[in-house]
Amino acid sequence: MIPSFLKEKETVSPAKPSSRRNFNFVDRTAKNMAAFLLTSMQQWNTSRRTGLLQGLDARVKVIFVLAYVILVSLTHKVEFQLILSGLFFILFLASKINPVRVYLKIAGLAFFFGFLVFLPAALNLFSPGEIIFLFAQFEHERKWLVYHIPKEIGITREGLNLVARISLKVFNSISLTFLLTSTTGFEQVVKALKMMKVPDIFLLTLTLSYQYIFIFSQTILETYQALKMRWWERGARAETNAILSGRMGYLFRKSWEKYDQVYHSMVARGYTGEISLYHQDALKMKDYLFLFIAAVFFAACLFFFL
Amino acid sequence: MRAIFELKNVGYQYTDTRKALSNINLSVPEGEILSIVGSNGSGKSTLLHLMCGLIYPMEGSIAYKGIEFQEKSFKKAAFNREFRSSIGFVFQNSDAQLFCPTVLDELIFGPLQLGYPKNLAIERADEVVRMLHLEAYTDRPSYMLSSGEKKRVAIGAVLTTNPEVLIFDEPMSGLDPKTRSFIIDLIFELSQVGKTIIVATHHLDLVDYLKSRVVVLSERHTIEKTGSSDEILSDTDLLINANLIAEYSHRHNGTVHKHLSLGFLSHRHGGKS
Ligand SMILES: Nc1ncnc2c1ncn2[C@@H]1O[C@H](COP(=O)(O)OP(=O)(O)O)[C@@H](O)[C@H]1O
Ligand SMILES: [Mg+2]
Repeated sequence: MIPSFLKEKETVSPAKPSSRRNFNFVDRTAKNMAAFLLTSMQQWNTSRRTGLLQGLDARVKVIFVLAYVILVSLTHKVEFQLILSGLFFILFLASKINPVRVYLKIAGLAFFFGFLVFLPAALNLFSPGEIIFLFAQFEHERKWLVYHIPKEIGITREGLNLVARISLKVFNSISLTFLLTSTTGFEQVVKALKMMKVPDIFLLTLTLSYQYIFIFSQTILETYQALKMRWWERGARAETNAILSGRMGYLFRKSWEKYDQVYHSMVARGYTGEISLYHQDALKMKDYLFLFIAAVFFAACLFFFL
Repeated sequence: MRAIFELKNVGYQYTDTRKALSNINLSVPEGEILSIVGSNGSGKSTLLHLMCGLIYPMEGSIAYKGIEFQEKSFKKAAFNREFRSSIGFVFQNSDAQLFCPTVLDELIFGPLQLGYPKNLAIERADEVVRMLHLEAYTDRPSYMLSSGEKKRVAIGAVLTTNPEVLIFDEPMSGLDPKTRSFIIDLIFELSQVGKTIIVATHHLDLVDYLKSRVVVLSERHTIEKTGSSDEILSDTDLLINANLIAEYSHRHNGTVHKHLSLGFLSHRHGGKS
């Protein structure tokens, strides 16, 4: 029954790899993104600690987050954004969330989606002013197609200022989302939206996307580990490259199969696509109190800063 | 015999509140069959992942053939090649393990990756296909197979590179009795031809059949006892404490009667008992 090659010690000596490439950048980025999504979602699933925000009704939190996202986007004023950052920080502490860990994530996302994405806006091409980092110097100004290219290209003080302010806004918006996701289960958010008369079709899409992203991230991570177990050499060989060439498509397909099973098990347990509300809890005193304070603060911000 | 793995005071935790493993001291000699038993969540998979170099100890140290390894050891091409090619890991969830477009691709992936000529890879795949009765499935994608078929493909994918050490995580879970007995026989025969075998399981009948050395992980995530399979299987208190068996009461012929859920001592009642 056992083939003869398995009865001997391995004798074939492995060939040298044809090139020296490990997982390429895209693979590694996909893996890191997947790990990040998965931990965020797991955290979303297990927000069981008891603190200020955890004790409030999900509807109150959803309204709070939506209103304050608008507030954050209203103005660029730095003092104003800093006051809001302070408020969010206090809310994190009052909800007993480890500030170091959550702020590392927020800062990382704000750096990427705020700072890096908007950095080009700091160039003197877009924000004229005093250049503090010089990138290129030409002999003359030039015209290229419809563009006017100045003698010097660099980052200006005014531009950097602008990008810093945008990043701060992004930072605040992301903090708000984390305030919601780290204190409120996903199903609670969906129910709150339903009570707020958001149409079922939208909620259905939201729920299923959430499930699919979860499964897809899991598939990517699993595959990464399995590949690691059979990835002997930094060098990728031509034949195995060919086998793996369609792997993104394959991963989608495989996740889809799994997702199908999850969906079927939901249907088997009575899921019809309609979100049912067993009981509609009335808002409690503390919910009203929180809403009131948040509204007063909101109004004060509008009054003093606009 | 030299040790394949040597673990000293190994500890690991995934989150900063709960330990997944603590204070593990264990030596696995070449050619041995070792069973790691423990209830769900006792840390079996974590222990296997540590030995496979998929995660790295946070406390203590782990050595492979006398060479201590950590995450950075795998950056060295020679160690990485030697380690990955001599250790085969069959994941608990076959879905997690299979990533090639077809079953045949899955089987030849390892040998090709090692740089073997393509015809040798295919030759080996053919032999493995025959051994595992996978003839009908070679050009199908693995996600379309049943769980028993997937498990066989997963084992085959590991065997084609002929690793010295085979590590199985819960190889019996979710399989029908026929596939289970097929896999028990296969593990036993692989050990007969000299492979070092490590199996994590909570199926005591597998332990009984393999007559292996047994390590019991307790619900406190540490080694409770090590011994021969006979020694461990006769220690009822230990097995109850480690949540590997439980007492059931049921009735027949009107009398209530308690017995242990020792699946491998399959009990039949004829007439009165
Ligand atoms: N990826 C993970 N993240 C967080 N905790 C985990 C993870 N994997 C396992 N654990 C925890 O570690 C402990 C040991 O798990 P595991 O090694 O999978 O046990 P077993 O394989 O014996 O069922 C359990 O308490 C489990 O909840
Ligand atoms: Mg396990």
